[in-house]
Amino acid sequence: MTMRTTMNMPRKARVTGLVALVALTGPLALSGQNLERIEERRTLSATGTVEIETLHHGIRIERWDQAQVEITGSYDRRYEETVAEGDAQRFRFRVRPIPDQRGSWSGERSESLRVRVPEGAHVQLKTVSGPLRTEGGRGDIEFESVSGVIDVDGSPGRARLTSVSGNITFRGQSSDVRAQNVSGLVRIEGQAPRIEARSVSGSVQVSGQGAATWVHMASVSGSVNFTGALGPGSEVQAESHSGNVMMTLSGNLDGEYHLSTFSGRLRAELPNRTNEETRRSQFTPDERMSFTIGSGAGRVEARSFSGSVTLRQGG
Amino acid sequence: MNRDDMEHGHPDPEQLASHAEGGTAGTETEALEAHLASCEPCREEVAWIRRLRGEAATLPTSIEPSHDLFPGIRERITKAGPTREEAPARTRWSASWLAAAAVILVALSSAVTLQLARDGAGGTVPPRTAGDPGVPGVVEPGAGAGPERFASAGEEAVWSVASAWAPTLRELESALDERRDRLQPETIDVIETNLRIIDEAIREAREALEADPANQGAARSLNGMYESRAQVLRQASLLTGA
Repeated sequence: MTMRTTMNMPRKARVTGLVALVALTGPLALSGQNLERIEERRTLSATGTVEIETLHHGIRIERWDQAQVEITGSYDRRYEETVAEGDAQRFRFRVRPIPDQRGSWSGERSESLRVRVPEGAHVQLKTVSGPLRTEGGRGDIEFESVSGVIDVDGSPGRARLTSVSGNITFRGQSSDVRAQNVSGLVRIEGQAPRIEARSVSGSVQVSGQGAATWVHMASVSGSVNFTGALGPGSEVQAESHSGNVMMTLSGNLDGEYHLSTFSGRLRAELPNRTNEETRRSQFTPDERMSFTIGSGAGRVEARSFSGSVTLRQGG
Repeated sequence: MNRDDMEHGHPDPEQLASHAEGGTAGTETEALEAHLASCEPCREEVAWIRRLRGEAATLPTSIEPSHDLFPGIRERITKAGPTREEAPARTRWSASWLAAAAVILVALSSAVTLQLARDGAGGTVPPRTAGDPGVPGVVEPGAGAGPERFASAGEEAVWSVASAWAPTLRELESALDERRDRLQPETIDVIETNLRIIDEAIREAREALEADPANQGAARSLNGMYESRAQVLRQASLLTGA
C-alpha cells in the first residue's frame, strides 16, 4: 500500500522522499559496516592461562566445561587489529591499535568480548576503558583496567583486581582477594581467608559472609568500612588518613583491639571489654585506645589520622 | 639511670637501644638486665631493636630481587610500626630508635628501589644523597653527620622516614615524567589529583610528627603516605608500558 502510494506521487516528490529516507536511515545503515567479527576458538588445558588485552572493549568471562577458549565479539578494522598466539597451556589474544593509527582511535564502539574458558583456567585481562566482568569459575583471575569497572561474581582461586579510576566489586568466595584502585569504590562482599583492599581517594568496603582471617583495608581520603565476624586468630586492619573508619562486628568478638586517631574521634561500642586503656599525647590531639574481649585471640586495628574511628556490634 | 631509678620507671630508650647493641657495660648493664628481667615491654623493645638490626643486615643492597618484592616489603615496613606500639609510652624521641628505624627503612627502600627500577623505570638506581630527600616538604638538614644537623627532633624524625623513600619516589617520578605522553589526559588528571591528595596527607602527617617526634602513629601514617605515593606512581608507570 505504501509503495503504491509512492509510485503514484509526482517525480519531484518521489526524489525528495528518497533523499529524506536516505538522510534518516543513512547512519543506521553505516553503523557496523566497519566492524569485523571476532570468532576465535582454541584448545586450552583445563588449568591453562588466557591473557586478553584490549583498549576499548569490555570483556565478559564465562566458564564452561570444555577444554577450549572461545572469544567472540567485534572490532573496528580501520583502527584495530587482532593478534592471537600461544598454545594449549597459555593463550594470548590482543585487540591492538594498528601501528599508524595509534593515538587517533575514533572508531565505532564495538560490542564487548565474550570469552568462554575452562572452569579452572587462569584469566588475565587488561583494558583501558571497557568494563571487565566475570561470573563463576574457580581459576585465578588478574584484571587490570584504567577507567573501566571491574565486576567479579564467583569463586576464583585468587583474585587480583586493579584499576586507576574504575569501581571494583567482588562478590563471592576466594582464597585470596586483592583489590586496589586510585579513585573509585572498592567493594568486597563475600568470604576469603585473605583480603586486601586499597584506594587513594575512593571508599573501601568489605563485608564478610563468614569469619575473616586476614583483612587489610586502607584509603587515603576515602572512608573504610568493615562488616563481618572475627575468626580464631584473625587479623583485621582498617585505616584511612582523612576518611572515617567504621567496623561493625558480629558473632565472635574475641580479640585484642587497637584504635587510634590523630585528630578525629574514637568510639568503641562493643561489650565485655577488659584491660581498656586510653592514651592521649602530651603534644598533639593524638588519642589511642586498646582493650581486650575474651581471650584476645584475634587482632583488630582501626586507625584514622583525621577521621573518626567507630567500632560497634552488628546484629 | 641507675637501678633505683629503674624501679620507679623504664630505662631511657637510648639506654635500651645501646644495650640491645651491646654498647653498655658494668653496673649499667647489670641494672638494665635486672630491669629487663621483670619488665616485658622493655624486653620486647630490646628484642625489637635487635630484630630491626638483624633484618637490615639480611636485606639485599646490591643484588637485584628475582621477583616482585613490593608487597612483601610493604608488609614488613608496616609491621615495624605496630610492634612499637606495645612498648611503654615515651616522653622524648629516641635517637637510637630513629637510627634503627632509619637503617631498616633505608635498607628496605634500597630493595624497593631496585625492584621498582626494574619494573617501572628500567634505569639504574640513582645514588642516595644525604642532603636531598627529594620528597615534598622535607626540611633539608645542615652539614655534618650527627643529630646537630637537624634543628629539632621533629625534623630528624621526618627526615628518617622521608629520606628512606626518596630514591624510590625520585626514580618513579622520573620514569613517569619520561612517558607521561603515553597516558590519556583523563588518566593523568586522575593520577595528579590523587597525588595531590596524598601530598596533603603527607603534609599533615609530617606536621604531626614534627610536633610529636615520638608519635608512632604519625610516623606510621607518614610512612604509609609515602608508600601510597610510590604505589600510585608505580601503577601509572606500568600503564605507560614501562
